[in-house]
Amino acid sequence: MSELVDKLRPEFRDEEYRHSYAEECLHTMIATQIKVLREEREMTQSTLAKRAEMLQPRLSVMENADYSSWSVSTLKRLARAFDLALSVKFEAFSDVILDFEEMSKETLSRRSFKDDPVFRSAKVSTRRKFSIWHGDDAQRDALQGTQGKLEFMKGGITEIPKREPVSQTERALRGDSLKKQEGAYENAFGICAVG
Amino acid sequence: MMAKWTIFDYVDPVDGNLFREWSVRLQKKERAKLNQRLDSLAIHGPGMIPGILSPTGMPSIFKLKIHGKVQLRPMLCEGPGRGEEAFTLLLGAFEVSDDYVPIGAPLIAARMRECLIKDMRRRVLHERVG
Repeated sequence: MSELVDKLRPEFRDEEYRHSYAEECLHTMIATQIKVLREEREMTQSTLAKRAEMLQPRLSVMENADYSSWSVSTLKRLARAFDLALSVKFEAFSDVILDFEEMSKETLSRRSFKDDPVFRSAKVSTRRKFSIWHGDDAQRDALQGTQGKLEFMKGGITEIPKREPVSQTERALRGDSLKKQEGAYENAFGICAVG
Repeated sequence: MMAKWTIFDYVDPVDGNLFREWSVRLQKKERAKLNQRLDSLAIHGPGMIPGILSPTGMPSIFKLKIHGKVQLRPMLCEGPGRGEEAFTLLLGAFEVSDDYVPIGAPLIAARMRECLIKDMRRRVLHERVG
């Protein structure tokens, strides 16, 4: 189990405390993801600022864990500049803490539309951390080359190797959520890609 | 994930763990923000999160900038043991009207760091106040 969650369990009994802590996690993760996305696209702050139609000093302030005045409209502009969709969701505290703890360049990285395999091939059906493969071996090998880590799954969704969760999607595939999704995936045998 | 970096508190030979005393006096909301920043440092180190450490103008002394009704500016240093993946919290401070409280906080912190380098027993593992 998470060392951080163990530490926070008694502290989070207090409502004000857990909300303040989670808000700081949000600010930290947004600033970090903007930096990760910008750097993986080899963009300078000036380039990104220009694409997001803002001034570089403003972007510099936003790309900082101190910044807390986020608005959805600003985030939309940044999403557009990265050619990504913006997803704003309500989350359980445990998910926020686990995401924060597992935060890394890999977990924050996202493909722009032009590099998204779902839209590059009609035969690839993929989610952020989990893909079911329906294509042939040659296409699979090509995908493996672009995605890096692939894990093979034969016999269906229930045979995903058990391990500590590394993403919301993997967590969702455990427990009750797994049962709900079995119907959707029960015929989707083949290769499971875990990012 | 295990914490990668160790957080210590500076301990004054006479007054003890002043950082802990400062933390105890904070409001709950402020303590939550402070603890989140310290957890960020412990888990991700100084390189992952942009702007987590801010310079103070004093060599080797950094501050955490934590905004709110009260502007927290805890002073800390990396190490200071050579090559260790650690931070030492030296002094709890606030920023009020562009001034530090206590006045000259970075300089005070720098002196504490010097004392610590001379005697590395002047620190304890960070005593978290939840």
